[in-house]
Amino acid sequence: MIVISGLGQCSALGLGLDGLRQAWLDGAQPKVSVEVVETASGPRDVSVYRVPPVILPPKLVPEAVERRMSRFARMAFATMNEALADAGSPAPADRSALVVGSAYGCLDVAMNYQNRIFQYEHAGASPTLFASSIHNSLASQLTLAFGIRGPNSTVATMEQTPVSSFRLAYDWIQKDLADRVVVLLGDELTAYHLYALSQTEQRLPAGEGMTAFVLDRESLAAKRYARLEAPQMVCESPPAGKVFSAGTHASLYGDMAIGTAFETLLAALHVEREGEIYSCVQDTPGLAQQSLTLTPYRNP
Amino acid sequence: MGIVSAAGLGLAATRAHLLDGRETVHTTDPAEDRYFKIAADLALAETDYRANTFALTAALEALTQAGLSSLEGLRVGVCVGSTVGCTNFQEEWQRAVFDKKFPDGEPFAQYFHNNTAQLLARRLGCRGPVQMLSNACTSGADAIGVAANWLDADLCDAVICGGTEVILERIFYGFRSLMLVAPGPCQPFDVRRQGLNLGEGAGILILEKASSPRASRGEFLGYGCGSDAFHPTSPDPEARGLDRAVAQTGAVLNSVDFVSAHATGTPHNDLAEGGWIRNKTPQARVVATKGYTGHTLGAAGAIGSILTLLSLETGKLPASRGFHEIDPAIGVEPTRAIESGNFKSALCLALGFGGINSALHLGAAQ
Repeated sequence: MIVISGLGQCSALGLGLDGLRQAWLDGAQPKVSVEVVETASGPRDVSVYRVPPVILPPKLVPEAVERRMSRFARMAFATMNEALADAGSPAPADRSALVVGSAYGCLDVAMNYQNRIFQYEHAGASPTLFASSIHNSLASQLTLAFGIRGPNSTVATMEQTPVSSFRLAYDWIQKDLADRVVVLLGDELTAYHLYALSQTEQRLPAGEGMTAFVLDRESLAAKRYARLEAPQMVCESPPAGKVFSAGTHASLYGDMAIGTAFETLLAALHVEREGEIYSCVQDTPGLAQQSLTLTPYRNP
Repeated sequence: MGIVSAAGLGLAATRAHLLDGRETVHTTDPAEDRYFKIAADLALAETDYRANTFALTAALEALTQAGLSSLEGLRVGVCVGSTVGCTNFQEEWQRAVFDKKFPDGEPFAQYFHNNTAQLLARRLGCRGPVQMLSNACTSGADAIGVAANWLDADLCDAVICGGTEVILERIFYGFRSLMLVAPGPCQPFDVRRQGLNLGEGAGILILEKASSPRASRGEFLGYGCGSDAFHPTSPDPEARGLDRAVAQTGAVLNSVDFVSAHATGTPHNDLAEGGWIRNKTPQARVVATKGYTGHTLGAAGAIGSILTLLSLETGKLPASRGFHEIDPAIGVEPTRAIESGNFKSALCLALGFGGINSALHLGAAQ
C-alpha cells in the first residue's frame, strides 16, 4: 500500500498549503496580473497568475548556489522542502527517489542560454547556463541538495505528465526500488508562453507553480493524507468516487498543462477532510484517458 | 529493433558496419569530424521535427522486424527518452522571436505537443500508456526500463520504447564550453582520450511479454537506476550511483559475459565507469561503441542496448573504435578487434549529466 504522506505547493496563492486551502474554502481566487507583450500588431495584454517571489529557508542550499538559482528551481526547492517537512520522518538516502514532471521544464534558462548564443555565437555559451538548461537539471540539483540516491527521472509528456509521473513513482515502490518517492510537478511561465498566448483568446489567466507529493510505503509513513491506488495510464474502468477533471479548479491555479497536478493535490486535501474517494481524470486529444484515484486511509 | 545512427541506417547496415567489419553508407558529415551527424540524403520517415523523424524511422523498422504489421487488437504503449526531443523547440522560431520578427505563436505549443512519445502514439495508433522521459544521457535506457515495468504490471501487451536525439548547435557549444568535446575522433578508455564526439539518431525496441507468440531477438533481464547526488555535471568518481543501478538489475556480476560501456571518451566518465567495471566485472569483455555512433545523449542507452542485443544474437563484439592504449588509471582494455564468443548475458550502462546512472541487464534469446 502506498500513501501520500506529505504535500507542498507554490502558486499565485503563495507558498504552502494554507493559502490554497483557505482560497478553496472561501471560494477566493488569486490576484490576476496583466503583462504586456510586444506583438506585430502592437502591445497586447496577457492575464497571468504569477507566483510571488519565493524566499528559501536559510541553509537549504549554500548561498553561492542560491544566488545562481533560477526562478523555476527556486519554486521547486521551496515546494519540495515544504512537502518533506510535512511528511516528517526522513527516509534513508538509498531508498529515496525523485520524479520531476514538467511540460516545459527549465525553459526560461534554456531560452536565455540560446539567446546568448544568438547574440555572441559560440562565445556566448555559458557552461553554467548550459548545465542548468538541460531538462533534467532540476532533478540533478534536487537529488544533490536533498541527498536522494535512489532512482530519479524527469517526465515531459505535456498534459499526461502528472498521471504518468505518479505511475512511475508507484511502480518504483511496488518493485522495491525505493520506499519513498517525491513527485514534483510544475511549470513556470516564460516570455515565450506569453508571446504565444498573446495570439490566442484566453479563457483563464495562464498559471504557473509547483506541487510536491511525498509517496511512502504505508508501513513507513508518519502521516497519511490518502492512499494512492495504481495510477491508470489508460482508464480501463470509470474512475471511482468524486471526479475532478483537468481544470476543475483552474480558477485557483490558472490555465496549466500540468493542471492535473493541482487537482490531485486538492483531491488529497478533500480525501483527508471528508474521508471519501476522489479521482482525477486527464483527457488528451488522440490519446487514451488517464486517471488517478485517492482513497481514504484507514488504520488496519 | 530499429536503429538510425552514424553507424548505419537500419539494423542490417549497422550490423555490417560494426560486426562484419564492412564500411556501409557514409553517414558521418565528411566536412566535420567533431560530431557524427546523420547525412541529409538518407531515406527517413517524414515528420516536422528531426528527433521525431529519427524515432519514427527506427520505430517503423522495429515494428517490421518484430512482425507487427498491424497493432489492431493489441494494447501498445510508447515510452521514449530524449534530451532535446521534447524540450528544445525550434531554434529558427526562437531566433525569429529574438530578432523581433514576430512569428506566428502556434509552433511553440505545437512543438511540445509533438514530443516524440505522443507523436509516435498518435501516428502509429497506439492506445496504451505513453511517456516521454528526459534524463539526459540515460533517457533511452530508462525508457526501456519503464517499458518493462508496464509489461510486468500488465498495462499493455507491447511497448515501443527507446531513445532519440538530434545535434543542436546550442548543445554542441554547451559541451564545448564544459571542455568535454574532443578535437578529433573520440577515444573511449584510451589513455589519450580528450573528450566526446556528439552523435544523433534513434534506437527503438519492441518489448513484449515472454508469452508473446512472436520470435524473440533477446531477453530483458533487469533494469536499475541510481543517483550520484555528487556534482551537477561530473560523475561520482567512486561510481556509487552506478553501483546501485546495477544492483537493482539483479544481475549476477561474475556471470556477465560483456559490458557495453557508456564510454563517452571524456576523462571523468571513463575513469569512473571504467573503475567500476574493473572492480566489479573483471571477467567480462568490455566494448565501447561511441567511436561509431558518436555520443547520442538521450538515444545512447537505447542504441547501446540494440548493439548489445546484436552482439548477443550474433556472438560477435565489435572493435572499440578509437581505443589504442590502456589508461593505467582505469585498467580496462576494451575490444581492439571483432571478437567472437558464446555470450549469454551482458550489461548495458548509461551515465547521465546531473549524476543519473542506469543499467540494463540483457540476455540472448532462449
